[in-house]
Amino acid sequence: MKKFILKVSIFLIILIAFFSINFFINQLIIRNTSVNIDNKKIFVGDSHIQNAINPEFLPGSINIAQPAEPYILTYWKLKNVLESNQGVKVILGFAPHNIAKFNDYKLSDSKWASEMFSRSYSIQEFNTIKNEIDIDYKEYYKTLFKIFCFYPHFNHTSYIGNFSNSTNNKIDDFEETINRHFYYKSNRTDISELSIKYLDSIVLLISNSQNKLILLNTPVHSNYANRVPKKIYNKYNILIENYKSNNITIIDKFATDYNDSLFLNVDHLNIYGAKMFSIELDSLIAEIK
Amino acid sequence: MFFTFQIYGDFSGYSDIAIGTARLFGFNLMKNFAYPYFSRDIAEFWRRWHISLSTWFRDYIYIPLGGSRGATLMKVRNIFIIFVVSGFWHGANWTFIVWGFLNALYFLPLLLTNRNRNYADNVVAEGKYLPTFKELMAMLGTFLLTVLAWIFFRAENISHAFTYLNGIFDKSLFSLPKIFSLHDAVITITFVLFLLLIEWIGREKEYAIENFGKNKSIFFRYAFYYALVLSILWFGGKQQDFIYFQF
Repeated sequence: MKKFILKVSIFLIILIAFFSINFFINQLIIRNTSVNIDNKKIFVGDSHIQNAINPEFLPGSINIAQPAEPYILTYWKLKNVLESNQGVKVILGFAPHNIAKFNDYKLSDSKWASEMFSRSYSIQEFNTIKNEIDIDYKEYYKTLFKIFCFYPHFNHTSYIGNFSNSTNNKIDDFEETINRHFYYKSNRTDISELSIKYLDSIVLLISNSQNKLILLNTPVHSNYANRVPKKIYNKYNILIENYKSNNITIIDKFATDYNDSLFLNVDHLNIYGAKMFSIELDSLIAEIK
Repeated sequence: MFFTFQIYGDFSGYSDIAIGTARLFGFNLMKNFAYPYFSRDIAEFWRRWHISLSTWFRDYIYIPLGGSRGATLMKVRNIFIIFVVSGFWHGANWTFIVWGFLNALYFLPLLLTNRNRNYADNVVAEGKYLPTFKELMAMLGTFLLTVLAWIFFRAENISHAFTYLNGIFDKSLFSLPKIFSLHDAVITITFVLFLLLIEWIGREKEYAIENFGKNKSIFFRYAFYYALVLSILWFGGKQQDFIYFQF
């Protein structure tokens, strides 16, 4: 029995030592990691921006958007990115679904939580939101364990995204997309006050630095646009007017009539649509001082 | 398809946990699975799957009913009783009854033609690395029959099962399946193939990796154990109840 306990203990000690060494190495790497973005136009947001903005056609720009990104994460991301950046135009995606309540579940629902944690672990400020939304801490620590304890990662900036698209074209998924954005567990969701709060925080963050904010709504197919719940669309329009009256530049291409062949699906442009939209956007942004 | 391996890994794995833990305390529990997916016919499958339950049913229901003795009608009756009761044991749902009934249908021709004990005393490709073509076809055929039956076992209700079957046997059979996560599919298939390989290599032993590395150095054995532990920790998904807990 004693021999058995001794062998198991040695086995476990070696394993714990392995995890601990990796943990400390990764901590050291994070402390010495900084994000250097020299571009003067930073596109940020969720997959609508990630798919629609091709930096190849927007000189001097970078697309750091990521799929399903809620404004909470965008805020933390921008706090880091803009720490040492001034004179930058930040173009943030803003559409009705960005203020829908499903965004409040992205740190607790298994559909999104693990992915969100794997991006935000190095910039998270859970203390500031723990009383407002549910956070799946078990999943968070599991994600952290996997990232920190198995091997040294040299890149701890997984919150920085990039342009991504394809040539696909399938625009019959409007029901599925509307359900995903505006329903949660078969119930219609409400407006997310937390998302609006963090959108306001982003506006404040950028206006307090020497940078310029532009809110951008990318083109969607009419099959989707016509099905957005009125309550959420009305709130979106109210916010647009509010921001306009506070001198925030808005580029709203939500209702733009693009050809069906330019869409990846009902709410995203494909690679051809992205090229066309990016070229159009370049001249629009150039006129904005 | 994936459910076929999920239920095997889940059930066989938790049986192995029980067997291994009991051995630590000096108790030898009976083996519950003996490489069932390498069975060459349904009779062999039922000698290798959930052995504890099937031997209980054999000893306490099948044999008292007369077993395979008596008239043909008696044999048919006994087979249907045993498999339907076995289905019912899993739950009061028509899907389990249909699953049991299907297995009875599979088994009956073997019993009636006295071929149900063809493979009672040996393992497929015994002493060889690879099976013959005939053995391979027999294994694939048995495997497919089992997978078809699992559809009913897994379905929420009969209509769900038939929806599934309709989906399999329509024109989409000839197109690539829609995979929601290629990454997850690749990992799953890799592990399934690894499982099949390990079990194939160890099929003539009582437990496939029972004596694995016994004669190797401590460093080799520790490396293998660490690789297992790290794989479980890395690839382990969300905590789930064992499927057989509900039974």
